[in-house]
This record gives sequence, C-alpha cells and structure tokens, in this order.
Amino acid sequence: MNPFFFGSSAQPLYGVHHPHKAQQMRQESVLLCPPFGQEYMRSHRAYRQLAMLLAMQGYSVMRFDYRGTGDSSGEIENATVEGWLEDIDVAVEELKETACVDKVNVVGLRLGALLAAAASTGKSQIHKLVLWDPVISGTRYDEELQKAMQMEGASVCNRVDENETLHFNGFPLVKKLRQELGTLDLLDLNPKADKVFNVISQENDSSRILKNAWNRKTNYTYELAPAPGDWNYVDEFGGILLPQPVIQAIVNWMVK
Amino acid sequence: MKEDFFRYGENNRGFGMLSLPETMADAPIVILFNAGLLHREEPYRLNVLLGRQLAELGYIVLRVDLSGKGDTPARLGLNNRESVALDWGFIKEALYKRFGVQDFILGGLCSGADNAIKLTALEPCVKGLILMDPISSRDNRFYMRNWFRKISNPYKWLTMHSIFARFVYRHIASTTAASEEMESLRDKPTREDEEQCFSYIMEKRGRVLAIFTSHALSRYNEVGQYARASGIENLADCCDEVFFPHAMHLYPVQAHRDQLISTIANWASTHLKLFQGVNR
Repeated sequence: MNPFFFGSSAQPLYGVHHPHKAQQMRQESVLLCPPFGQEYMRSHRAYRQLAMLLAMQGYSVMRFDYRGTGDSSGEIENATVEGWLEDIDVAVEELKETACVDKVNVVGLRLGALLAAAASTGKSQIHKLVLWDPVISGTRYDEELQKAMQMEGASVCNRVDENETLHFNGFPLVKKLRQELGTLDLLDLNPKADKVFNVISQENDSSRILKNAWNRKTNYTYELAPAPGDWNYVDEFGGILLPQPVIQAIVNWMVK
Repeated sequence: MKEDFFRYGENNRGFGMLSLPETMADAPIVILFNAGLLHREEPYRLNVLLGRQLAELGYIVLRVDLSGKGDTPARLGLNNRESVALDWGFIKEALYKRFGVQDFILGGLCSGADNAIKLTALEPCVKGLILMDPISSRDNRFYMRNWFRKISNPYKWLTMHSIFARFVYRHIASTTAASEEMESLRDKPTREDEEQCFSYIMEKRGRVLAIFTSHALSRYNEVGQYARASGIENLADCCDEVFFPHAMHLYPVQAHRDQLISTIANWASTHLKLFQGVNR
C-alpha cells in the first residue's frame, strides 16, 4: 500500500493506494468511500481487506478519509456534505491519475454509499457503483440514530444538545451537517453509474424500500450476503467487523 | 505542524503517521500505541487530535499500527508479546535513522498502556510514559474507599434491586462483569515488567503520567493509589496521577476528550525541557 496526501495543501486529505497485484492490470480502478463515526472505526479492517482482494484481482484501489475524519486534516465539527462530496470528486480524479485509468468504480459503505451515490450525480463519472448496507436517506439515518438513542436511553454520549448537534456513540453530527444530509435521498438521487450493486448483510426496512424501488432498473443488482452488520455497535474491546460474505460478494460482482 | 508517513520493519511492512512540530531540533518523540484492535487513530480520533496538539507544543508524535492492527499486517507464529517487542525494535531503528533520537516517551490507552510498560521494561530507552487506564494494584484501603463510595451514592440505593438482580444472575450463570471479562483478555504487564519499567524510568529521571477513568473503578479509586499500591519505592516522586471518575474508558464524551487532551498537553508542556534535555 502507498499512503499519500492529496487535495489542497491547506487541507490535505489522507489516501492509500493499493496498486494492482495481478499479472494483468484491469483498465478500471476502485475507490472506497468510508462510512462515518463508529461505523468508520469498525469497518477499517474490512475496507483494507476488500482493497487487498480487489488489488489481487487486478484493480488499482484507493481508500481515503473525508476532511475532518481519520488521518485527513480538519475537525469533524466543521464537516459539511458539500465538502465531503468535493472530497469524493477529488479522490476520483486522484485515482484516475495515480492508476492511469479512466474508469472508476466506487464502493460506499453505509453513509459512504449515500455520499458516493450523490457524488455520481455530480462531477464524478462512475462506472460501477457498489452500495454496501447503504443509508438510503439522510432523514432516515437521522431517525435511525435517534431511534437507537431512545432504545439505549439518553446519555451524555447519545443525545441531541442545545445546538441541535446529534451525538451518537460519542460522534457529533452538527446541525448543519444533519440538515445537509437531510437533503440526500437515494430514491430521488438516481445515481449515474453504468451498473449498481446493492449488497446487504442484513435485510431491514431500508433495504426493502430500496430493493422495491429499484428492482426494475436494468443496471441494478441486489444481493443479500448474510453476515454481521451491526456497524454502530460499541464495545470496550475496540471490536471490529469483518463480514467476509459481503466482501467476497463485492469482489465477485466486480470481476464478473 | 505537518504530518508525514512512517514505515518500519522488514520491507517497510509496518505503518504509522507522524505529527511533526515546526522546529524539529531537540524535539522529543512520543509514540502512541493502538488500543485493543482499533487502528492507530483510536476511538474518536484521540491519537490524531492528541498527536497534533503535542506537535504544536514541540513534540514529534508517532501514532503507529503494531502488527495485526490497522494498516500493518499481522506477524504469524508469534504471540502478542513477541510480536510487539519485534515491532518495537524496528520502530526504534526507523526513528533513530530519521531523527537521531534514542530516548522516547511511550503512551497508550488500555492495552496500549500495557504495551508501553512492557516495552519500557526491555531496555532503558524510555524517558516518559503516558498511561491511560493502565492496570493498577489495589492498596490496603481500596475496599474501604470502594465500599464508602457505593454506600454514599444515592443512585446505588435507588437501583439496588437491579444491582442485586445482576449479582444473582452473574452468580447463577457463572458469568463475569464486562470490565472483568475485558481485563482477563488483556495481556497485562507482569510484576517484573512493572518493576523493571519504573526502575528504568527513575534511573533516567523520567516522568510518568497515569490517567484513570471510571473503567478502572474496580481497581483504582484514589489519586496516588497507582504509585502507592505498586510497592515501587519513590515511584510517587516521578508519577503524576489524574482520575476522571466520570469519564468512560474510550472517552465518548467530547468534554472528557477535551479534558484528557488538555491534561496530557499540560503535562507535556511542563516537562518539555526535561524531555528535550536528554534526547541529544
């Protein structure tokens, strides 16, 4: 893996390039868009493994952190959806340049899937789009988090504060970010990608809504790959999640 | 402050991230280890924010993925202690090549603190320790303070029924509390490790910062107990203890995170000259 900084020098973003490891390089590359908060922490290992498996299949793969998250610069309190979409656009261009290919496939997990789909309707041209356990709308995501908060009981790390910042599992979603996320809805977005793969580790209301709405699309494939999918679960062991069936399903679909 | 990548080990297999101060001359080096299975950023980017803050103060800070964690592949056929010790040798070598520094400050949360102690015990090259929720021994009056803390807490009285139910359930099902279960999974430093570690620190006239949260309540409940209960003579003279009884182990509350980072930054700022003094 080759780590590097990209984007503006004032606010560099952290990226990792996994060059292809196969005898023959494919003329496609893959960008992995991470989720947010606890889900990001739990998915780091899974993304790393996915990147390595795709690299072994001949893809040039890139992981990165949005501004205000991970090793990228900035504070999470200043994060905006516009900024994160810009980050995806910059990452797509960076990957094209690094891998010397024009076709970019994007994998997004949870909130990363919603952002990747939104990015596909803008500047970024995406060939294949993988939506892994996607958040289907910002409003639904907000409701989902608030519902989980009610179930667990309000606490100092699970609450909405006086500035309307939603703290979930200790990660803050500031009012502006919540409002901006509220404008994103997968059903309205109609992602511009040649092929869309929706892979789900556990079926739920959100996954059924999306499946029913998109099932007739010719470029849409749905797959249930049963695996642990409790991305927001918190323990004191620093537990991570490595859902092999989903990772394998993504690799299989990508190379098909 | 700027950041750069750090590679170590055979074929540069190991990975970490450096936060670098404006002036590198005489800058002491802090190495922050992973907690549990998490990658180098730690929960809530603790190591990222802490590293950047310490770099602003003049420290070089490395947040590093040990083998099997984050972006560093696992070593096969070695146990945790062997793998960490091997990594440490390579990390030191890479840091020396790059910065010419041979004395370090090690830090970490939970198993990161355990690793810091075990590595310090290996050889006298560590001048400072930042230990977040290390394992503390209990002193003679621990149980009395613990008992008093419980009976003087009105919330405990109000929830007595659920405490009793939990106790009975655990007894019948032969299960243990989550904190005990977690503690049993930790590859803790031995008594010999601790003795050797702190004797090296004292020999080098170094400093220790030990910070405890509510997670440590089953073992720690008073500032000063860590040094006192260790049974290591004069440890209290070089050990600063801080107790955040309302904070949780992984610091999910922003205010507690801010408090933790400012506590460490104050300590680092106070001792900057001391750490600079012997590095060259």
